[in-house]
Amino acid sequence: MIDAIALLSGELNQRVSSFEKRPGVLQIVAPFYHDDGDMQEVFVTPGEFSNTWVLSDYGMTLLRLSYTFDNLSEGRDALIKKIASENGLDLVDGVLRVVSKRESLFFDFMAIQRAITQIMALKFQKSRRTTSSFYEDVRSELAVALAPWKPQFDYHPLHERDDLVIDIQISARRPIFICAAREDHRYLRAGLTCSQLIQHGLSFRSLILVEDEKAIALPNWRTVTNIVDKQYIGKDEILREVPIFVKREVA
Amino acid sequence: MTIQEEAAIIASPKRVVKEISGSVNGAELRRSFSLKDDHNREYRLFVRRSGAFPENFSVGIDVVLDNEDLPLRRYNGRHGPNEQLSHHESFHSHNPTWRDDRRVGKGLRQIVEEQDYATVEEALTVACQRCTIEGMEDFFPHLGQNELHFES
Repeated sequence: MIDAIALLSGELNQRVSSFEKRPGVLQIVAPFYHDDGDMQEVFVTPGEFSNTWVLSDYGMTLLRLSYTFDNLSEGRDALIKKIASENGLDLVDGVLRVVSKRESLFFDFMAIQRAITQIMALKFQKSRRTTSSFYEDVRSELAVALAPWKPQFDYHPLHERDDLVIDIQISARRPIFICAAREDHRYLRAGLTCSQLIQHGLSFRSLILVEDEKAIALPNWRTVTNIVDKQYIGKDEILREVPIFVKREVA
Repeated sequence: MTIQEEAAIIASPKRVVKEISGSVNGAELRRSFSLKDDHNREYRLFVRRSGAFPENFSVGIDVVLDNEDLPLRRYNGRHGPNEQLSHHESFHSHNPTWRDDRRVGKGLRQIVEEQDYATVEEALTVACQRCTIEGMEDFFPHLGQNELHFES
């Protein structure tokens, strides 16, 4: 098996080595990494005939993919089989493997590394947990409803603090800062942003738009209610009341 | 996310809500749990162990932010070298990278060698301690006693 490592190392600028994972099983050390910095796991064992070897991932790739997906859908399962097949690999019981010989060792090694990379890229398919379009809807509909007052989106009231962001800003004698919050942490962040701006001496009117108050923890609700001027709950109330509020403030 | 926000999330007490999925196949282990904290934030914790190489394991925790899973920590076994420890295997954790106190991306590229655990059981105990997770003993009655039963 040391022959196999020497062959690969020669092809890869002496950047390949190995260590014994188990008796008769070498783990290959080569500059191919997962996106968290871990090395991609490929092992080599002796083949059935002389000068043949088996390259395998020992199931580590699909185990790692399970960090993202608890269960694989039929579609992803089929895609993984296709990736294995396209790269000339066997996929048996979740293990990628290929029997290789001297002439094809480098290309087989690159094929298994390529397949690992392609399979791990499936994690970027993970869909969002819900399909709520609250932020998109509020933003697009208020863009129309508030158009006469020329709303500014993603507004930074303080140049030196790019972490303090207001979703919508309306210019007025006292500017109006509007933040939308669907989740508890976004709600708390909106309240803390307003609090920090007040501490910086800014004078403004603040609105928080909440999709559903049940998503907000009661202690946070009490805290933020004492900071902001007005809160509207639910898309209907938001779209009905916010333009009225702005019109009254700007007049 | 800022480093302060992340620290608050890590410190926030979390309780196991339910087991999402679980399977044991020989030495191979795959169990996942949903968790929640007092702010109604949701989390996912997974425990994985290779059947072929039981020293290859990972205990990971993700937080659900903006309806997407954001990895917080991984407590991994000795599954091979990595970018920062390129010449030897070691038990190690993966942590976020920070630039000017703000998190860089969703990855966990900051790797730290760990000496507080040597088995997946001990890694789970460490994860619960460091990430303030309560209630795991309902699913692993021997948690912290270094003698876990992994049947789901």
